Amino acid sequence: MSLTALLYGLAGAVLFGLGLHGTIVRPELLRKVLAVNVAGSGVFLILVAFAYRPSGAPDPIPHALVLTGIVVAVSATALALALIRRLHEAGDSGDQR
Amino acid sequence: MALVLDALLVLLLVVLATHLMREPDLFEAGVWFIAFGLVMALAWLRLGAPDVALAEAAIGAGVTGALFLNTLAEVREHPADCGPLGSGCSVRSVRSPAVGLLALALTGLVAGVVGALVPVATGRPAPDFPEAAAGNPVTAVLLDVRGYDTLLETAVLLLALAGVAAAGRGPQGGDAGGETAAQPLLMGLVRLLVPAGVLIAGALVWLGGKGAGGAFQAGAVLGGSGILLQLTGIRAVPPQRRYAWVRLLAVAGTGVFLGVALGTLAAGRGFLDYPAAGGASLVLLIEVGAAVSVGLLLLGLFEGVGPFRRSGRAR
Repeated sequence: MSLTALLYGLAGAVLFGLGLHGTIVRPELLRKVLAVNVAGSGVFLILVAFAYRPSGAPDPIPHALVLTGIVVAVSATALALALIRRLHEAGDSGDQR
Repeated sequence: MALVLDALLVLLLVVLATHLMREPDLFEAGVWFIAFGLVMALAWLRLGAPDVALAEAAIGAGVTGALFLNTLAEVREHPADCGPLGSGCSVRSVRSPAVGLLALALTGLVAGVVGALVPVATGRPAPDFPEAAAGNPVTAVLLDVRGYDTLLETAVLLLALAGVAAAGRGPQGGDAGGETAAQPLLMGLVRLLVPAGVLIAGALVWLGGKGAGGAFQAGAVLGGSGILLQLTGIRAVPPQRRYAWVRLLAVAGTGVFLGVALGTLAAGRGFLDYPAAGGASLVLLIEVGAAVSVGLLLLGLFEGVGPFRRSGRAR
């Protein structure tokens, strides 16, 4: 039973909850983007905690999953930010948000 | 002793996360987010995941932070930025205690699952892939065992750039105006960092076969160098909008990967089933293509979310 893995896994759960709460509660879109990223980081922490082995090399499959997850997260964040910028443009001309 | 370090690191992560979401100034929140990403990289190192640490530092903290701050430069005066408590917003903040209870309940549920599964997971021996086409187990999983997923991952980046281009006026590229050109400190820094970045990217691709590293980390370092160049106004990377060959290079990563996959299919083997002899070389070829593409794609994403370049307007 690895205390390190348990500690980081629980930290991941807390970060996920924090991020989820922030996504729902904060009204500004940019803040929601940050909160979703924090929640995502929490999930990655849980995955890599499962991969930890107290003796020997860690399990590489969750590491590869998280690597892919980080790249997909930046893609989704970029798309969200571009849409937010577009909304800003639309808002300038007086359209409703 | 190590557990004390881990406990402090975890505490720091939670404090940073809470702080960055409550910080009233969005610019500072973005900076705290980058700091959060860097501390996450330390957590990855503590968990024995150096490849993930590299990716988190370069992509999760670096590129995501840069994207966020670049969007902020354009959106700053938006009426939706109405303070962290949402007092000035027409979009009402969902502030009922039910949300807090929901988040708490979900956190408890996830924590319970983690607590139940961690002993099971960490008790099992890690799977081994001795016949894979790379020495580094993570690279072996990414490009050999689960190569199909990585092929689709490169396509996801492409899709994101297409979406970003469709959402706005698309990647502009070009100078930021005369103001940034007069910053000698930034120019000196760029002269040092960008060549080092290119070298480091090449090293990451090469070393990723045996040690920590890989195509995506290298691509992120390349993209970061490109972003730095963008900030100084040096038009060193031709704008993707204008030149077809730059767009072709951006697509080349997915193209090379797909080409190798179809090639193995045509050679009578399965889709992405590397031959035993040339497998490592094929993986290296794919990684080089992916690194260049990812760099250009991340740069394109950065340009796409930033302020539109109006004449003479500097950031």
